[in-house]
Amino acid sequence: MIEQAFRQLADEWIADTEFQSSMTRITAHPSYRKIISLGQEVLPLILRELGTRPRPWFSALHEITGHDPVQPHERGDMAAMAAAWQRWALANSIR
Amino acid sequence: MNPDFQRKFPLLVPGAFRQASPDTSAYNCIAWAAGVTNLNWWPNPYGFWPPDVPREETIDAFLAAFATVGFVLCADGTLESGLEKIALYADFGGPTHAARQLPDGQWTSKLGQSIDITHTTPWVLNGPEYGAIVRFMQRRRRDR
Repeated sequence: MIEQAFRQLADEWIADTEFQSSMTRITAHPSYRKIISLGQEVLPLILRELGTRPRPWFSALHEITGHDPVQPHERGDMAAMAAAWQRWALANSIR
Repeated sequence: MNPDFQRKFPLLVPGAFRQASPDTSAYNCIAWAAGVTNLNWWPNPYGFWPPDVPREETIDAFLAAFATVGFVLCADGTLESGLEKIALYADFGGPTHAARQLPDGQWTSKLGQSIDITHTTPWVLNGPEYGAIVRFMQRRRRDR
């Protein structure tokens, strides 16, 4: 159920923001906000998405967990930011 | 292709552009215009932004960011020998996109998290997705 809801919202978000560069607009999209409102349950799903293809999930992860493992020098580097969150997930047994 | 592509870019008709690379999220349009292919440039907490440039979504901040890699304001996007030009786009909410002129006078754009395209003029990206061109900048071409 949660996976289906996440997939639908994520697909809407990707389709609507695919051509946007503004991370502010990308993360303000209604479907992105709804995903955040689903809370901790979607963490493994977001992390799986990140492992498949890095997208700007970092604000959502930060808002849901209250953590931010991304270092200042990693800003803008999607692969490095995704790797930082994967390390955080491993350290916190989220999978 | 995104089913909303034509609605988002009504001037990008067949013949006005071609896909130049597969989609990737490794870099965005601002980085691509600056000549960078391993970062997403944006003045938010998860984007790269040049040091000492205000992290603001304003036209002035974006002009200042491009100035860090040698661009200065210019009048238009006319092809001039030895110069590389960029176009900055904005809408009511602020900057949205940047495109870069190629040596042959065509333009190149990275469309968000999606593909790179080569397009005939910078104007064909004007529309609901990116708003309109608000400034042109230029620098000495480095690939000669």
